[in-house]
Amino acid sequence: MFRRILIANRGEIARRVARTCRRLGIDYVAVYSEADRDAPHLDGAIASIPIGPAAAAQSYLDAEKLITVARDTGCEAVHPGYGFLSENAAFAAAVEAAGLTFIGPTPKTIADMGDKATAKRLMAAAGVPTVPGSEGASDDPSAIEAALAEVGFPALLKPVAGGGGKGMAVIRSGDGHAAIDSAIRTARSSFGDGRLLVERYVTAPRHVEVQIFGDGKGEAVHLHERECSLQRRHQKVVEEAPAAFLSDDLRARLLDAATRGARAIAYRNAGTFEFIVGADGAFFFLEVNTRLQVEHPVTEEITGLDLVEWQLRIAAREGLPRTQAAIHASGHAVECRLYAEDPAAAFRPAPGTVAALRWPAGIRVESAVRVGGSVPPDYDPMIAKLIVHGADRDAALARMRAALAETTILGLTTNLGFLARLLADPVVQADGADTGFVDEALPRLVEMPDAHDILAVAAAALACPAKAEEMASPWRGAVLGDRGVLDPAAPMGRIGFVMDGKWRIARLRAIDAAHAVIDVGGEGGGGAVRLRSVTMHRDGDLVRGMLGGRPWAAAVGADAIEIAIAGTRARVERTLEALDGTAGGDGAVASEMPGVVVALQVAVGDAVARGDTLAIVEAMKFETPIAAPRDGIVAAIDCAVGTSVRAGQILIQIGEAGEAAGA
Amino acid sequence: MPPEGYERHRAPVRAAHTAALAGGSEKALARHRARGKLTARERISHLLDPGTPFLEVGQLAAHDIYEEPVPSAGIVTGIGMVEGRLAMVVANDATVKGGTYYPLTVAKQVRAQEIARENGLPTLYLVDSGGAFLPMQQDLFPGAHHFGRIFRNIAEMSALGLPQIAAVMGACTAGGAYVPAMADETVIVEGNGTIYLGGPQLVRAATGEVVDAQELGGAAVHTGQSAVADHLARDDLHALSLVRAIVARGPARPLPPPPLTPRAPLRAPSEIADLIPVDSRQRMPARAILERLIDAGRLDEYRARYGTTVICGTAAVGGYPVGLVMNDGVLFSESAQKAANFIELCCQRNIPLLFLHDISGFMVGRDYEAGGIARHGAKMVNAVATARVPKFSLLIGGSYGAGNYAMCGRAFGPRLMAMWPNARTSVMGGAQAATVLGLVREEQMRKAGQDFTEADRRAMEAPVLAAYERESHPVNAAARLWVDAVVDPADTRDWLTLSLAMAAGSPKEETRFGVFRM
Repeated sequence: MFRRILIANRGEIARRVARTCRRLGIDYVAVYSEADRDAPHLDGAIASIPIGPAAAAQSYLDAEKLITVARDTGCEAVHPGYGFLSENAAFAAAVEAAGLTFIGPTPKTIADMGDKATAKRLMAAAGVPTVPGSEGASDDPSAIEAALAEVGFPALLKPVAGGGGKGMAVIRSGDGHAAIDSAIRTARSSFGDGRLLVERYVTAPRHVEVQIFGDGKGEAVHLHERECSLQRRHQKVVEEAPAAFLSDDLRARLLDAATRGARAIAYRNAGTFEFIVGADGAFFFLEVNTRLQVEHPVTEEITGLDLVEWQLRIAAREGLPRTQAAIHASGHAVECRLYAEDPAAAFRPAPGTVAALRWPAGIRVESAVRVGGSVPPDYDPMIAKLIVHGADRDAALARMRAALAETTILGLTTNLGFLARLLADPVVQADGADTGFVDEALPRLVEMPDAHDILAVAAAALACPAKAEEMASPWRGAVLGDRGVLDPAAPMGRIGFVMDGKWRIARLRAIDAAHAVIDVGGEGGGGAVRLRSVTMHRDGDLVRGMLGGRPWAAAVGADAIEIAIAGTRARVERTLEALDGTAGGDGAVASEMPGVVVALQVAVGDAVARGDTLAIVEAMKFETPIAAPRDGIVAAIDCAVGTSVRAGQILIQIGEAGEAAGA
Repeated sequence: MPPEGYERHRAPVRAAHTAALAGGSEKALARHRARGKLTARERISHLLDPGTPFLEVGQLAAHDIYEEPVPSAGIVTGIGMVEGRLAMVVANDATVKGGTYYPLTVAKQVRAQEIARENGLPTLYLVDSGGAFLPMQQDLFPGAHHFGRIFRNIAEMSALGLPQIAAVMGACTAGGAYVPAMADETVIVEGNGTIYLGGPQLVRAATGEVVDAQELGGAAVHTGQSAVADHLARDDLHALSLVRAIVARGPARPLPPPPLTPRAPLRAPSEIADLIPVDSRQRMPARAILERLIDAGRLDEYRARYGTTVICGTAAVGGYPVGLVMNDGVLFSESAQKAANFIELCCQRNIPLLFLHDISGFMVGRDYEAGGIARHGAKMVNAVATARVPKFSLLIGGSYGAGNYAMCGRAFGPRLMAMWPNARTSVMGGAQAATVLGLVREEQMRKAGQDFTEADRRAMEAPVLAAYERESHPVNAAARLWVDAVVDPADTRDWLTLSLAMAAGSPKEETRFGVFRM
């Protein structure tokens, strides 16, 4: 076994690999970019080596640098994790050329499997079912018709020049010529090329993949299958093992196909054979992922095996740790990927800083962040993976739903609420989701936070009494005196919050140690009463509770309150921004000091942003920059370099952006 | 049907409270809101920490005093928590006569400042006032406790280290302009807030300069040019949040927890009202009332077998120890000496004093005068006057004559003073006054050789009785600031608990007694 390896990755996978290294007594070297200076993946490393700026191309993707680090720190092998260089054949080759072991497949396997056409050809030759399709593209309707007869129905016509699904047409048996002609015309008008590829169209496809390990000499075993049909825009979000919907027969055929494929190419180390399974039970090979997958933990949970250990042992030429007969699966595992992204804004990555973090107790969490740490904008915004195991699928799903409800992340916009709704969806619970499900069901899976709920939670968080101290001054709230008559509409007080730049007022009707009734209606003075009943309690530096059956958590800061309601983030400000004295005024820029203008850095008509230096005045042996008080256009300059100026003398006029300067 | 039992007492008090809480007219309120302003009470509701108490002072001030209604004397004052600190809040109500100062407005603000000073509280001024009510200037401007006192107090309290913070949320004219100018730190609201010594009209009259209110004393001028104000707020809520932030930056005085575990009284305080005799000439059941007021009904009595017309002893309310002095009959020499001794003990042990008044006065008569009751009574008055532990006074029945002095009436500086709806206070009881006046008149008539019939006596007494009933009534007492609040018996424990908890945080003072006539 290796004594020391380089983990050429970051985030949760670097931590995951490190954990097995620690268990096996292997030293590991960690690397980090400038964005990851304090990242948790550096913990426990025998050395942590900086490898460059935040941009991945200059750090985690810099093969040469990584190999140098590995050699300089005395590593024997390199674990690439997933992503970055993990499926880069040139990197694998360079690692081996440097006399190090690449923990993964051979460069050739990586290259072959990375090329779709080659992969498909090799697998078809090994007897692995591949998606039937035409050899070449054509814009001759009769040639297409012939191809259709060979491929079978339903079939997909794909413009050869197209991409991203544009111009694709599904043809069912009996659709006839008109449909084919129309598809050719569309392709021609859209892409200037009418040629179409013909491919079998799989209805209600499910994504099933088989985890295999090969010894590189022609022997391979499978560690059962996983299902990853819950995807949004081809990005897996929930993975399960096993694929519970498969019949025993179908499962056996899938596992056999994958193992056969792996043996055929003398696969080395960990790989995943991905298949698409149609509603009719037909399955087709998609691709091989020549790396450890993000979702490998669900396989570990049902088999009780450590896949990273397997990778290390195979790379260390110890051979396959177990025979197929000694590999068993039991129960059902589910993984959820938690991302810093905004489901309500097309899952746009939402990097930021973690204000608070609470993981559910008693389940497996593979996390990449810690409190106060950040999710940098430079990389994949995954925060963590939650993994549960149960006796069967229902039990595992129930556990995951509970785990999601117990998870608290504040300060970041995450997909936690989306995941919770997804797992609560009847289609998912009935195991009826295909790969198109998430995108189709998106409207009901994405929650737009309700402003009234946010207001109620913010008020409850702020008003939540400190831990009940019997011996506290009654002024802390044990007695109320005249508070009720002071403001009968809000007998426990009013709290103003700023949401979207406007004040919103919460009127506290009642509060006790664990519960508040809050009127969040009535904008301004009037308006209808809108009551929210909220439970709350303190949990360390957080306040949490329930609102309308949904859990919420909040962190009360001096300026703002960070909130998550059923995993959906909100933030309310506690007051308006201060109006500072330099807020712009009439745009006249004066020198504060008497002195001499020594530099003039703008000309009439220049656009300036607030804070830009406009000129420099030298006075009392110091150079004082004159800054733009607001955004705008330089409208006039009333000084020149060398001009002596009085204190308060107007030097420059800033006009509104859009005002034609001097016109 | 007229209310029966204790409701008889509650009804007029409730009516007065309702009138006070209503504030100014609907029209004035609509005008106020149209400017984007919150009412004085809403401002306080926003300012105070949510879920914490408010102890209003002088809610009934000016009730039925002036020709026109001036609810709460046009200013809301009270004690509450702001950013975890106990503070006195003084908020002008601009819906009441434009927030102008009537004589009782001045008196109320001065009283609020006095409470703040004695209890070591910061004072927060939410200013929205047109200044002095000019038609009554002679009753509010020149005197020792008139307008000038407000500014002297600001300066003196600031010198004592008690933060003085102002938010100008409306007009702040003439003398009023000195509130923000004198305050330690001042916030002003853009648009609504103005500060000037002379308004636009006065400036025009005086110098001919034509200037509008904002140019003369708006937020931009005062935060950018004059530095009369320190912070610019965009609106009321912003201003209040800035005030909160200023308070949060200031000193935090510890708020002592109750030294003893708070215990419920032996019986429900809500039962007190039913114990109060309908006929005010009947004795109040002092001990039954105590059982419902003090923690666990437990009184460690001092000299229980001596001078029994005054009950003295140590008890706790809400876990805060208190030395009780409670009437249970008229004051005799023995009772007065016992009470004086007990007050000395409380001062030595630093226990706050609570006086529960139900006193018609000191015993009169030849034997008592000869026994030196004036001398013994003077001892008690002397002890009460000079005791420097926090003192609180609660009128639960009558509080008449020298008895009022001996029981720490207003003149003797109780930190807070309240009155039950059934209580009455005057120099003597109405009936006694009528009788005395009747006797004097009868003697005059007789000397003049005229008859004094029973009808004459009744005609003589009736207006006296009516005047005494009106003047001694708690609503009148509260309207004239003789007491800080009219408190229902059922709410008294809470009022006392908050009062004692407030005083528990104030700096300790040494007592030095004067010469006692032995």
